[in-house]
Amino acid sequence: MSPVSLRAEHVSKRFPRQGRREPGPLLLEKVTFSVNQGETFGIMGASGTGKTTLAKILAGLEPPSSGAVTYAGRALNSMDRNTRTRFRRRVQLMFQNPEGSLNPRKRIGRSLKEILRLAGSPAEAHRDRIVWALKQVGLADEVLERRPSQLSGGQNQRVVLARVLLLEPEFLILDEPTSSLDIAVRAQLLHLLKSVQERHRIGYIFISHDPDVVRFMADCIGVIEGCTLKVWAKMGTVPI
Amino acid sequence: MSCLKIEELSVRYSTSSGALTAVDRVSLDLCPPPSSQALALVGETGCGKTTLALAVLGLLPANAEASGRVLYEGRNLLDLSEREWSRLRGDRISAVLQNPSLALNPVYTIGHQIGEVFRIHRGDRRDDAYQKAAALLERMKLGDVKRRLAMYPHQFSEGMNQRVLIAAAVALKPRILVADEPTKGLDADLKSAVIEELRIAGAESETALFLITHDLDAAGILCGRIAVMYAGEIVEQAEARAFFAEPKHPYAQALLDSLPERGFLAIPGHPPALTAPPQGCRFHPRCPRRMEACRDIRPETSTDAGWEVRCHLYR
Repeated sequence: MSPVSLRAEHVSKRFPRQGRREPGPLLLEKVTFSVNQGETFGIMGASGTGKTTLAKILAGLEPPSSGAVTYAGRALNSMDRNTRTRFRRRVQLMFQNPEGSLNPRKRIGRSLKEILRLAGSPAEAHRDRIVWALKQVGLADEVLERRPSQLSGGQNQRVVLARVLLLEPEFLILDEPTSSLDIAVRAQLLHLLKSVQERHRIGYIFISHDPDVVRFMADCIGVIEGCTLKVWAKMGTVPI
Repeated sequence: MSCLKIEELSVRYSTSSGALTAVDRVSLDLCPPPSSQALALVGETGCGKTTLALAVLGLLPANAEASGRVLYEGRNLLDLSEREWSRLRGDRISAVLQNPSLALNPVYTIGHQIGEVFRIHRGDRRDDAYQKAAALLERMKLGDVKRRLAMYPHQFSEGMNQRVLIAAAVALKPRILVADEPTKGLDADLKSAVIEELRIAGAESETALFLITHDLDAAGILCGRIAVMYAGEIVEQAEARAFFAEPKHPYAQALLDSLPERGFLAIPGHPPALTAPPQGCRFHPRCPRRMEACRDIRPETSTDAGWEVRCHLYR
């Protein structure tokens, strides 16, 4: 089976001016790139340049003002219901603060089960699937009884990754996944992400302001400057 | 002569899952001669760095109990009343704490919050305090000072709020500035700007910087001395340049190996829970050079020409 790709084609984003009809300031202009399963596309840029907005557009959480995001050759805005459901499941997001992605009142086990239930997985298979996912990210099943506040930032980020893996993603959009972690945990997570990618052929869109981290992870890099994305195909040519 | 001397400081918390010792018999000197005045305390999240900072600032929560001594100008800071602290904190001992947007009051303007330092500690009138706040922001090159002073923290970026906090913290030229993770989560440009502000503050006002961080770049640029903390203990303390060239403790070596230029090498395993730290050396379950003694015997700190290491390899 040929690899699926996720593609941004001339994606632009303007924010509306409050209470006015005329278009607001341009944040992203004609952003074009694509990533295949098993590859990593790194996106860099200073704070406020629109990296997170681009992540949301790619995940289908925010519409572009013009241009399109295509998944498996189909534009998001013209997908039939089945393809849209598949897209929602196979393209996942992971944010900077894992604590913000996990319900603080729920035990980890319950948060993970909920995802399987929503995905329509049979209840009798939940336990095995969850233990499998935890094993993929190097966590023991003792964490299932704990709440997010009882785990470290690095452990919570692993739980979020395990939850993503339960949905068997083809693409994972990682928005500053290491910026709230200390250097030792950051190194562990980067190696973990690489090994998960090798085992499951997930395509990563890796967003970070840290050039060292992006260089380590990405096969190809884009830098957002002045609303546009400048793409360098070969690592050695990136002037960062 | 040191301006802050921490002697055998321990901090214990009572929690629902039992008592834990977040800082265990830590001794540190800030501005020890002849090296630079700045000291960096580095280590992983949860190793007790922030608790130590809070103890130095008299800001420990109610469920914490501190023992030992934190000496400043002959007084043990652990014995000060809240009234005595309110005269000292923000004036002679100042702080830049984590999460600038939480550290600033959302309902007051930036100008009000910087000016407050002059009103409370120097008794300045509102107009004078405002002028001094404007002069501080001017120096920080945040642009259009008049407009900036009238803005609220939510209208500033994280990096700008961090610089505002630094401006307020160094406004009165404190003897000691405790900065807890001041560069955390900032992009490269903002990080450089914050490091530069701290460097200038140290140089211009002769403030001794106590930097608490896991950002080894910032520690190397700003500090003359590095202390490495692991699971509540100081495991190594040395002059910065020598430390970065050749760290001695296996944990310090592993920490430096996790830097990008060394290939992000990961330390296996996780730091221990402070409710039940391992017997013997606390790093031994993760240590590639552990010996029999490491399992049972807590290593003593050995000192060689100002270089302190707590490891059986250096007995």
